[in-house]
Amino acid sequence: MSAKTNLWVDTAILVAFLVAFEPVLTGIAIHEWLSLALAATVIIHLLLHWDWIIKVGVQFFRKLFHSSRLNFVINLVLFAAYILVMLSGILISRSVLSVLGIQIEATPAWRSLHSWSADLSLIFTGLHFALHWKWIVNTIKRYVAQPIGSLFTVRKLQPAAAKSTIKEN
Amino acid sequence: MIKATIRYIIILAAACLVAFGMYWLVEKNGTALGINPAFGREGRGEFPGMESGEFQPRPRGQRPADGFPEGTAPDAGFREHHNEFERGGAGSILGLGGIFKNMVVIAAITLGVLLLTKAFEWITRRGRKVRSAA
Repeated sequence: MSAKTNLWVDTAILVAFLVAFEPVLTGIAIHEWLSLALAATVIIHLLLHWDWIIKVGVQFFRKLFHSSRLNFVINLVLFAAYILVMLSGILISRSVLSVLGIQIEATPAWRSLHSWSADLSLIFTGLHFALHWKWIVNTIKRYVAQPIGSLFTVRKLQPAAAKSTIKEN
Repeated sequence: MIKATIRYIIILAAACLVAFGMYWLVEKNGTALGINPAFGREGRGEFPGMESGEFQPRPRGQRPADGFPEGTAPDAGFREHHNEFERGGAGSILGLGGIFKNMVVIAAITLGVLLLTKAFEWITRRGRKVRSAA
């Protein structure tokens, strides 16, 4: 899959994550449905990086030290935090479960676990972001900054093309 | 396409397995793990305004208010605030502020990690120079 596709999927995930993180802005119903959609998109993100996950996962216990180890551990914690956010969110849900006609008796602890795991996922999203900083900067330069920059640069006529233009005149 | 679908199902199944494990841990062994099943403000039946008397617990036998635990009911002002939160949008400036705050948190963590990486690179480079000079 191309880096361009990855960039757009990741941007969509980040924007949806930031919006879903603020139920005060969206209201409970949108917060819950948007978070469900976000979970599906996160799985697509994992799917796009399947080869890397398998490669590093296999090497994880073979070689003790390699550069992707920290990245892998942070991604695992982030995945677990997202699962806890989703699980606790579903268990305390008022909109999604009522639409689906499901009633779950869960302990009030899930409410606190929801906010606690949300904070954890925010911190680990920051770490995930930091570890991919070089890729983010390079991809944005290549697919966003350069195409926008080329719109404003004055194109010089090639010598041959310039001659033919003069002749035509 | 089939390959991608199978992989999607594998990731979903792994996520469901982890979620089931977490549910089992909290619901069945929460107390043993130190997770009090009634911890949190709602679990203790505490709400803002309770100490000042602004918020009065609901008398027993009265219909429970939506989203509030048995035995409690919010006053009109608190209820209005709660309804605004439920609907969303009304507190949009507050929500946008929250988004900005989260962006600042992510940016601060990114900056911190980048600075730490640079510092680590600088220390190792300097160490290498000192060793080669010796």
